[in-house]
Amino acid sequence: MTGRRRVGLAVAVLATLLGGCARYSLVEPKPRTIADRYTVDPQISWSALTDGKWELWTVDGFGLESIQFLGGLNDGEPLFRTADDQKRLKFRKDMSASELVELLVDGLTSIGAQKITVTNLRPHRFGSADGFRCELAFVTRNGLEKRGMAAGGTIDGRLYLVLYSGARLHYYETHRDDAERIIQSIHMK
Amino acid sequence: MKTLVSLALLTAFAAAGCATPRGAPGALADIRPGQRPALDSDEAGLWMQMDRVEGNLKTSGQLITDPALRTYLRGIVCKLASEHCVDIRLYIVQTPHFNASMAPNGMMQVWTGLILRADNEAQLAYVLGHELGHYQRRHSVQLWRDARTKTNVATVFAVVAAAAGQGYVGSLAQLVALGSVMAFSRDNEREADEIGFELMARAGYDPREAPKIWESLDKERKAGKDSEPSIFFATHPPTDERIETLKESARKAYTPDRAWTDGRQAYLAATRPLRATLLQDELRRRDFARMQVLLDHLMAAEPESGQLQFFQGELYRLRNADGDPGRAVESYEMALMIGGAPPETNRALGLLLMRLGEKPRARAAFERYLTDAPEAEDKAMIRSYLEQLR
Repeated sequence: MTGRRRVGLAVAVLATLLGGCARYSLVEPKPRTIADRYTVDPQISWSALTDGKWELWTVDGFGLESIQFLGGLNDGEPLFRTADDQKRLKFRKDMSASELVELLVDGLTSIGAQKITVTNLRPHRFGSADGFRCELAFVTRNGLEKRGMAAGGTIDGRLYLVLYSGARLHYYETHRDDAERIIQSIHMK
Repeated sequence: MKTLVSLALLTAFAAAGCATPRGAPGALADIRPGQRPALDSDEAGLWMQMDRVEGNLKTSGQLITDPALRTYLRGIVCKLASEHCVDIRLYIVQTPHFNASMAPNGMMQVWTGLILRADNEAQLAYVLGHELGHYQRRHSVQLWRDARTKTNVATVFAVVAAAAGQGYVGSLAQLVALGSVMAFSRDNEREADEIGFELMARAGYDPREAPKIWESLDKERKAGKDSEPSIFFATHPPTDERIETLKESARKAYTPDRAWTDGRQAYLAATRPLRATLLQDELRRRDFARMQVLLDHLMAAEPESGQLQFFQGELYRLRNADGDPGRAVESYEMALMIGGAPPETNRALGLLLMRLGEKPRARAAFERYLTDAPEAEDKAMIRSYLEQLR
């Protein structure tokens, strides 16, 4: 990955916590392919941006709520490309679901989230593969409390992840059902 | 450059700025209890900006609002500076970095990285006394006036206002960079050290504890030389000279006929319920060299702690260097043998053993975990592992 692309991805990911970015495209309420590997079926329109392996959608703005799709992380890669990713956990294709959630928590920490708690970690089918679901709560670097839910799984040695998060007050609940329908609609190609 | 200077001002205001030697040209009179700046003064402008920062801090999700801990810490502050007690508002910020700060408007912040690292009440009292020294001497006001002669006032206000909008904790990296720009002179820091030392000794805290916290920090700083810098080190370098000066002051001040206290028992009672959370926060920094120094320090004082052995195992498991998985298993087993380890010890042991292919031992560990924590948030996932391990 080039330095420019690394910075671009870091910016995109940071946008999920800090808000703001550019190059939006419209996600229409019809089936859409993610990472050329699976499809989802959004019931409402979202604004999207893509950078590297992450595709990020929002309705009200990335600082308020977003759903993010990780499209196939390879063995040895960190979840997010950040300035300190050398010391961050790296994905291993033999990771258990608990370790994948640990990887997610580590990645969120690397982009400034704090006081992260994970609840209701449970087995869940991710498309056709064994995977996991969980709920999250965390505080952004500027003190905003957020809630989230995640689904993920390792397919053919690569990690696929969907993370929905939003401000605890109002925004998380506003589009939680929309996000839930998207997660439930995951269908492997 | 102008931006850099302006940003440096921000750090200095937020972290209670640099210092001016007592009686030096430009030094201000000490702040009086209840004193507020005249409304038409530049100092009032500075207070207003800090009030905005404090307004954001009050609603930050990073605050620890536990009333017992807040009351305890506030009690220490009031013991050190009873005359200013009514003017100081204390906030505990959950962030794994060693820091305390005192803004000119009376906003005091204590970060949990400091709470984790202080061995006792006396050490914490010394650090808070140091910050109270900055407050008492109105150092940040002095800095504000000095800095205004060097940069554009409008820019300074804009930066401070922006900071107020994003919240104080904001960008740690930025604050560290700024702190480096505004590194305090040795004279300035010496004065705050003197005041902190005087305040703690006057309150009856064992003065020999003051240099110890700097020594511990210095060890950590050296171990973590390749890791992220510390905002507190940037503005408060723990130099050898500084440590030696404090040791000399302690030798002179300590007399065996007085009933000094280090307040360790009270400190442990107040902060121990929080320690697992703070160690977890520390672990998430993935600064393993620095955390090892911290764990060594804590275990030296408490060698028979199942909790500390668990975190030693976590460090090995997550670092995952050559030989670390085996060391992690040993640490977890030691933690379980000692007692007092959290239920998560068996979960971590199970995950590691499962990865290493040791199915029966992994299964036993997971079963112990579910016995100890039947309502664990990941119980469904652990049960699925048990199915796989059949």
